[in-house]
Amino acid sequence: MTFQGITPYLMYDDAGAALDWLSRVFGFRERSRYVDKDGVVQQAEMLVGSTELWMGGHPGYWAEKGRRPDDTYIIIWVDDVDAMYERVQAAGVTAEPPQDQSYDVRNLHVQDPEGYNWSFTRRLGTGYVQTKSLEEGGLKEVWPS
Amino acid sequence: MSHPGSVRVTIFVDVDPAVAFEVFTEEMDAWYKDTIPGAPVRERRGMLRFDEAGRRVLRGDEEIGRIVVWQKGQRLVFVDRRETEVDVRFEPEGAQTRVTLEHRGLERLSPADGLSVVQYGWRRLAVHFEEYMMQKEES
Repeated sequence: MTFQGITPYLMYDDAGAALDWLSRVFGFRERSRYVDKDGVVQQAEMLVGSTELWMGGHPGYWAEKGRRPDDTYIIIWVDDVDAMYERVQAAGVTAEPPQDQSYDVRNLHVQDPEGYNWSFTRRLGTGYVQTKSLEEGGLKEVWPS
Repeated sequence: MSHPGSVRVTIFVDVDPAVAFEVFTEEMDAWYKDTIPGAPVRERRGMLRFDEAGRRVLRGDEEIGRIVVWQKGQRLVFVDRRETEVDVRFEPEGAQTRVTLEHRGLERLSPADGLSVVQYGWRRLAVHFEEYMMQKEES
């Protein structure tokens, strides 16, 4: 057995609007949308590079749950984080500029209209960079034995 | 899904819209696979084809649909015997063609039949067309 990929299945109050937003702002490609007799998108699939993103939901989904999407980040590996930032800005969406992180990546965080956090990320190749002492909350590197 | 109304599928093929339209309409019998995983294989009752002049969709000599829009290289719309409508658009996107297939009017079917169309209809057939195009490009 080999693992062949991973597909997030995200729930939205308005999956149709999410589909349009993710397509317009990020450039994900719509694969399919399943619409009920009232015109509500109930299921949808997108292609993100060679991987898939699935979504579902219905109006009032999060009210029924009594919460919003949690703090989970969906990380998308890209070859050019800054180009993604330009694309997002051009689409009229506000986001902080990309940053190099101590944990060996450069990333851009964007929140979609329903609250999911998307992180467009590229490896820096620096390895983990210790920016704080252990006393200040820095991480101690421990190798597997 | 309670009662489906429509299903829309988008695929991308590495040819221009004119070629994609031509293959879709002229080689339908080759790419269209009406088998459902796990179900008995049905014997074909005749060649599937579009009869542009007669504005018909045919299986052998039997009319199984009628063409309502035929814009060569751009768009094709046909209505089947259950009065549901299939709208196929061919649009350039870079060096590729975006083929969007939308099957509408499923609310006219029973919920179970509509769901069957969603599960086994154009979502699957679009993938067959995409695979067929890839095989053509490789050969």
